[in-house]
Amino acid sequence: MTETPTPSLSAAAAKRLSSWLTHLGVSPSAFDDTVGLVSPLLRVHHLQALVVDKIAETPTACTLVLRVGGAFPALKAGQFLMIGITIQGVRHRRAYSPRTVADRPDCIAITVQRQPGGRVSNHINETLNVGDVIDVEPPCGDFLLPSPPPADVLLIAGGSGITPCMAMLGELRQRSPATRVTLLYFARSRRDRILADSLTELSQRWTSLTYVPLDSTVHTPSSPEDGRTPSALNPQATHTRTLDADLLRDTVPQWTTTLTYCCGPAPLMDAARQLWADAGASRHLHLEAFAAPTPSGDPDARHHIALSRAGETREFDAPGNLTLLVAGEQAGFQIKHGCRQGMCHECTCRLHRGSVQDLASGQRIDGQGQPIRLCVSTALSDLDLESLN
Amino acid sequence: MSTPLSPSVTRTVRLGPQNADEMLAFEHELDAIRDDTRRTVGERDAKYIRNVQRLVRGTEAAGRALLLFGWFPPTWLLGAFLLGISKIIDNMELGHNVMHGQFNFMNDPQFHGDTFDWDNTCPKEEWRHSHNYVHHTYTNVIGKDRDFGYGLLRLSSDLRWSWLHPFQLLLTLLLASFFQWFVAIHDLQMDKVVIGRKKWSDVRPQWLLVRAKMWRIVRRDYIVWPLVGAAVAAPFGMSQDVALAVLAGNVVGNLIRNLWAWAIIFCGHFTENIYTFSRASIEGETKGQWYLRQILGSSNIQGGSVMHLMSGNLSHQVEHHLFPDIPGNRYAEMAPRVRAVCAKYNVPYNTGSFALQLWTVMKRIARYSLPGGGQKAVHLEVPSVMPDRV
Repeated sequence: MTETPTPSLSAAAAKRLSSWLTHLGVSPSAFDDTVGLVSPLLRVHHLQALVVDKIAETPTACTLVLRVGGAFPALKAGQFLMIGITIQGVRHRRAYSPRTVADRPDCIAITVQRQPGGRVSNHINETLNVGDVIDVEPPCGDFLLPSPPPADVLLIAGGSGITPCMAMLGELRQRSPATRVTLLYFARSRRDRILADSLTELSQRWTSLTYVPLDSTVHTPSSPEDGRTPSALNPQATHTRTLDADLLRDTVPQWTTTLTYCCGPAPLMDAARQLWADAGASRHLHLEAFAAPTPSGDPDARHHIALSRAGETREFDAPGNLTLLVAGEQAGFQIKHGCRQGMCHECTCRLHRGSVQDLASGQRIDGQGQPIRLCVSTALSDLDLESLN
Repeated sequence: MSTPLSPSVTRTVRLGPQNADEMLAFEHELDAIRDDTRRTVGERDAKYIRNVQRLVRGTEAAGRALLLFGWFPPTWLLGAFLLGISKIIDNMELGHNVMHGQFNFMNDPQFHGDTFDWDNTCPKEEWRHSHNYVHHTYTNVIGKDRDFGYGLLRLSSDLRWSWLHPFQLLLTLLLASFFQWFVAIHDLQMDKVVIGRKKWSDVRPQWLLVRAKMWRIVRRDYIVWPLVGAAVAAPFGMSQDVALAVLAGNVVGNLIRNLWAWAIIFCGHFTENIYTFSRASIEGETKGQWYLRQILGSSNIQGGSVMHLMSGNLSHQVEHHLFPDIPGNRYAEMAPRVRAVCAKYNVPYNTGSFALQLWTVMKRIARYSLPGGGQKAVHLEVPSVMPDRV
């Protein structure tokens, strides 16, 4: 695995020093705050990164090049990381897929697609500038390539789901350039295809990469806020294709036995899940949810939710088309949460009674004390929940 | 000691809003103050609390560094003083307010009510229960609010007098000097264990939590830092001297914080003209009645910005009890509006200088060390829930 950058010796020493100082009552955050006065990159517990470059990719996406400190752990292609952005005094956490930057071992890059009405993605595109400092957390996730890499890999990306695939491409090229890689990349139009130029260039220089850009709005989640209709979006689309068995046969004849990674909006991943299940090849398919899922429950149903935390119980009604987190917030409660897309587990609760739909996995969970995440769950019945964090 | 409640009948009073309509209007006016302020909570408050945290860290670092110079009076005195100041601000303006969840809106674990921990022997979990829940829900309700007298003192004629109470001024001195230790064991409700109303086996898990937190503070303040002092002074052959100076500095720093925290908290609820309430009084209480009880049970301290900072804005105890999860730094700007609402509805708004308020507290403690006394829990008469006109 390419592991860049690696934690440096001095960061390890600083961490050791900080753990000794804890006995003197110097808390890890106090240690960080103090060394952070010299440079935010010296922090060892709550890490920060410096924006050193901001590149516009499309009218609605930009790439941030972030310089990280010595304590930032090794990055594996396909992982995600949480970044923390403070807007108006409020810290917001979001997950992005980082990739390494050629020739700059102390840097990572993330690409941020504007979401309609998205607070953080729009703030990053409009307001965040070179020289700003943001919070970063150590990368994690299990959307990873096996080691050693296999002979054939199929990557399916939709929209900003290209970013973990881009990291994987970078790693495969460096570590095992002989691997035959096929990339199916769905986007609304050429204009909306982030990283398009880099991909075209990469496919010209790297012969074992087959790059298949596809203009399609079929797998795009409907977003009324957007205001753009598919036809207006993409007037001269030449090959509007959907992810189906025909497309796979044309591009990767042996797709049922090929290791496949799919990352993109929920409809695309649902289609992939169905295709691979029908072919009996689900074990070859790895999925990574990316955008916050939208519930598709019954808006007319009202379920009674009792959420207990440290002896206090909050009660509210949740309709079937809102996540539990949003329903609770609309009822006026402050509910502990982090990423709002099922990644950080800050909002995890134990489900004692009732059933929920987990929008990330598409599964129904019947309450027997399992942990569920409020931000990606909708109620299917009345619920008793207990907060874990 | 849990003394049985005195049996005589409670007094019924009518205060403030005169009927259900007025009570509802009173409630809405206070709600409006809260909503107007909450709408503007944001960057300013986040910056403020970060600065408070920096002040805590800065004063602690300076104080501890100065103590390492040993018994040299200017450095020792200033060091102990700064350490005390740091602990006061950490406990009051930073800890108390953050642990109320006032800064949860920042979504930053450093300032989140459930993850923040303070420089105090009381574990955060115990505090959240005994203070945020019990004290703030049942403020000054006799038999419910365990902060009223701390299960030790007789502060109104609601408690039957006993042979222990003549000594309660001395007991108060003990309570004030070791305040953090009393606060730490407060939620164990040991008085109930002693008289057999609670089982030790039920309390034990809480005790383990408290013991661990106590040990952390003791180890840091009274063992590790004196050892650091000894190590620093070893080259000069003054290890023992400096270690003792550091130890004494920590004792004094903790004592300063204990006395001050005790004084502020007692001035908040035990001044002369505050009310206590009977349990029956809170049955079926509306939000407006809850607001009324919070105002009648709390008292403010007049002062400038230093007083507000050092008291953790508990100088605005009334506003804090009305709106416990609004950032404390906003109480000063809310106070004139709260006061105007109180004036409009004839609700007494209790405020006074620190010296005056503390004097009336001491008077109350002294008065109720003797039998009798006029102040009893009141039953707030609930204005008819039905509208006056049909």
